[in-house]
Amino acid sequence: MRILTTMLAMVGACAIGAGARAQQDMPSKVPIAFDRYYDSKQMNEHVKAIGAAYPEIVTIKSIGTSGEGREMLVAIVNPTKGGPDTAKPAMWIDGNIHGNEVQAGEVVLYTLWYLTKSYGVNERLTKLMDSTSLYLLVSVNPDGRQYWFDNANTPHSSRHNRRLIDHDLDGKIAEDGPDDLDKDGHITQMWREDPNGRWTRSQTDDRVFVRLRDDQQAGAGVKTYTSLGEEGIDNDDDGKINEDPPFGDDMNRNWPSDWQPTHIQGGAGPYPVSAPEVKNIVAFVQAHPNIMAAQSYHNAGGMILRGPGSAYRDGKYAPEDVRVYDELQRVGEQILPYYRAMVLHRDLYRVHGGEINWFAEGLGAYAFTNELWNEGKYFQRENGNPSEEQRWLWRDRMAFGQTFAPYKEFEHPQYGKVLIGGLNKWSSRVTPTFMLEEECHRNFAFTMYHAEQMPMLEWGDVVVKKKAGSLWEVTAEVRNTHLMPTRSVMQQRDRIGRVDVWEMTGAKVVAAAKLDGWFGTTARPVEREPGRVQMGEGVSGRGGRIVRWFVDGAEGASVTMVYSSERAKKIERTIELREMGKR
Amino acid sequence: MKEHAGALAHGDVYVVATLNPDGSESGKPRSRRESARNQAAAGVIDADRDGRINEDPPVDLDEDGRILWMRVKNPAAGSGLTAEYVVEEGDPRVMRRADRGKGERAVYALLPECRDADGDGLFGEDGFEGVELDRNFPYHWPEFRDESGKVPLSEPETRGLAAWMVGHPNIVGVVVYAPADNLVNVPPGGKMDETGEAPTTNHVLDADRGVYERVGEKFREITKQKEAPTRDNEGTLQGWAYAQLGVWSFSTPVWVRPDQLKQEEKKEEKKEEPKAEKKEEPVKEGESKPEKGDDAPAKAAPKKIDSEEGKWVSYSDGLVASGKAAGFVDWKPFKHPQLGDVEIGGFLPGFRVDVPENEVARLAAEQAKFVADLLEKTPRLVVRPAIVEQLGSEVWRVSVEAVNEGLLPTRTAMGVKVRRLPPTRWTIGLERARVLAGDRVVRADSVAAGGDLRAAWTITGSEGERVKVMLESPECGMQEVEVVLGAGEKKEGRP
Repeated sequence: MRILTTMLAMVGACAIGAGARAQQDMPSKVPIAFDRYYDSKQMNEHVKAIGAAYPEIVTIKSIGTSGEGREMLVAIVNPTKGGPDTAKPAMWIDGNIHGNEVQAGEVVLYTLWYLTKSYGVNERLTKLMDSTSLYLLVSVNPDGRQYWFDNANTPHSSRHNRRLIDHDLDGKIAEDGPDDLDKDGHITQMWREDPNGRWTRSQTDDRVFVRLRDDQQAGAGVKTYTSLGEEGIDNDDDGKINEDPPFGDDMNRNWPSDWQPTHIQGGAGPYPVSAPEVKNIVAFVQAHPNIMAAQSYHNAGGMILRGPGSAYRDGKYAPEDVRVYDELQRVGEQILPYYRAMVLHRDLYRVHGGEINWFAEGLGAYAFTNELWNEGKYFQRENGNPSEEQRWLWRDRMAFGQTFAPYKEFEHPQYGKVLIGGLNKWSSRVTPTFMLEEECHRNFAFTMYHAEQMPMLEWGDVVVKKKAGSLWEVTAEVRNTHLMPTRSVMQQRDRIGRVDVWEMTGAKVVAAAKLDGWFGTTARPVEREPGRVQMGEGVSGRGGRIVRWFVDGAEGASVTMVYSSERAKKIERTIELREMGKR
Repeated sequence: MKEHAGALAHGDVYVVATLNPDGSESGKPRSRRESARNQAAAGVIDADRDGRINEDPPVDLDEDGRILWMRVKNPAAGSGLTAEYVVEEGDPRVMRRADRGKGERAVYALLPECRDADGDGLFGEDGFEGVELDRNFPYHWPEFRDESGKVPLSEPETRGLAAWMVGHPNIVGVVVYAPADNLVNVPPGGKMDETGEAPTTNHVLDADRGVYERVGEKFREITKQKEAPTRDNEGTLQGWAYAQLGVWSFSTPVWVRPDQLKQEEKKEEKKEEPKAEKKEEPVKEGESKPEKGDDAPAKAAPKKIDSEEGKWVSYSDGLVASGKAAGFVDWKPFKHPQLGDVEIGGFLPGFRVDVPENEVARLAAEQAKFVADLLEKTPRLVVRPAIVEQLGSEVWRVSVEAVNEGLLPTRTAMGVKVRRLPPTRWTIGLERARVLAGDRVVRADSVAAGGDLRAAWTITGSEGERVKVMLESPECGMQEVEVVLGAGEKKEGRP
């Protein structure tokens, strides 16, 4: 209730500020506070409210339901005057595929909230929205998210979906998970006094358990303890505690690129795309071949991760594609202090069947996972490895103890007298609420930079020369002013999506050739269909393509050139057959 | 099936008669590839990625009601075609890839009967081809091949079947009637893929290889097949069922060419199974003496060509000699609208795969026999009488044993590795506090053929008490045993 009151106060402040019209003050028709977290229901309410308030900018589309029947709403940001969303390059942005990684949802919600209020107000974002389509899904795992809010959890639990599985293979499903024994709403740690224990409690701060070195003995009179793991009992009387927790598959291992069964990749699910949530997204994405970029938000650690997830797929990332990733990551590190650019399998761990692996390797899009929040942000000094004392300073002085459950004695049915307590689910992975808005904004800004790099075509020089009689030589260049090519190398090698097509209509096209440059280069003949030149190579990032046509037509006749690509906005130009241009 | 009724006592059989009901019903002339694949995806695959779908399919150019092959001699430089084939010396009907390593000059281009309908320089490159369902399963799924589908299990047929199979942990084996064989060509063992945790294409774990050998041997004995066509098992139902479900998984094209059957069986068989053999005779006759066939259509008796192609042509000739329809259509000149002089002919679609109608009964009987034999081999856990001993006034020891009387282990080594299902286990129906020694649940990942799973518990209880003991196995089901704690040294429980 306390948090809710705070939110209402914030709402009031926003409304008052709305009149100021300062550059930085862009009021939204839907006031949302970003110093707090929202459960799945509230998330969808916010998304729907934004859709209702900004129908000319955003369309809310249900792509299906989660395992437990929660609606999955994709916000399609596409101001209607820009035409159909599929005619523009698009970016897919989602979060919270791991239910416990909650702030990922707020970052996507913030993105939607900020974009809608910026349209027509901020020039740069308006231009971005006009020239691209953005597909936003606040939570890939609304069931896991809701479970995290509603139930006792650790910072790490409720990562998976809710189709529970039999972890201990005893034929019973999820029958022995952790239990909130002390009924404080959290799953914390259990400790037991034990003369043979290898832990002691700090003399200066008894919240701190200190591990004895192997060559150390506790001093006389010093109590020693054994760690008993997470709070719980032996619910199924099999002699083991917490061995079959209530969680299902890890949906970030269920995607159809390099998917491997569960004995190779834990959490993978029974087969690829088995999770309805993943299936819904795959269907939507396959129907949107214009998607050229993707972002998936997770927590924690402060990372900007790209694929591949396993070393044997390194070769799929060609140098030309890696250059795009490198530049995006370099800028990202500037926008996101305490974040590091990383390659998934090389710098973190091996992942088979990850979501961004499918976007990158299955679709040839440029895709990142951001691991939100790095504890360095608490003190904002270069103290990469804070001591436990420093951590307690911020837990006490900045979080006011809200991330810690004090140790209490509890009579445990199997272990006897134990201590229960420790860091709670808000402690280590979730951005502290007072820093949430900044986290949202910086990541949003990084993602917008990413989206801005999707291909953008324009006409370069067009030169027309009379060759003989009614034969004209038309040489034209299409330029891509942005970082990403219209067809990634991944797409070209694996034949993903249709090739770009450069057409000329209006006169008889006799022959065509592709030129490598304007000066002193060979003309590679286009052997078939000279009026419809197939451009499998696309237009490279910040580069151009030149085609020369020989056209049979009367002087002054108009001919039209159209360059179309699945992942760039089509451009069209009509010229007249008369001498023009010079190169 | 009547003669195998007993086999069903050993287990259930789930049958999917055709996984691709749409593909098998095609109205107009289709190429073999077009009709082999499913139809749901046929309308969406843009095979040449040019933004036009199905715009350049194979065409029945000579309007004879079927799509055959087209060979083009010395294709012109601007035609878009490249010669890659030569005809066999001795039988110019038979095509073979030119051996460039030996300096052989290719003369012919070989392609399905088609045009370049869209003028892009490619002939028949974008037809009504859907997804080949037997490339759409998630084991070593061949990524980025149109026939494999856009994602594993993308098709309603494959996803439906996979979900259903995952939901049936009692499945211990799978027999797939598909183009690839792994019964005559017994899979090699041991080699792992790039993950190090799954067998590489076409392989099985060493520990499972013995069973594949034994089952294959029986198969060859029943069917007389000594050769069978095979191919890699990437994306196949057979590969998936073994490597990811961890069950025995076999595949056979059911029918092979007569020369691929063991010949000497003929005499023996006539004694043992005269009925089944008679049906085969005409085919075998034709096959065994094609050279005598001066009634064959070819003018000069063609030389027998020892390649696969050549053997199929010989087989077709044999059919003709015995008054049956040919499976190979002689090359006939045709004026192609774009290529000029070409020849149309070659094998009828499906000729090398489809079972001849007069063989169906024999083959069905063979397969029934094979499946019945497999069923008899399936693992069977038989519970031996329990043994109860009194150790103290209120202390007893209960010992139980289950023996696998089947000829297959309860689980493949691969099944143990994938850890998909609970193990076979004995559970005593007492709270843990009453079990003084021994785990309440005693497990075995797999019980070998002829092997056993034993459990013994030291428990507290009063004389005359009935204690429930349970044997559970995903493969073999559940059996409950009631044990009576009786007085005296040793006493048998009631299974």
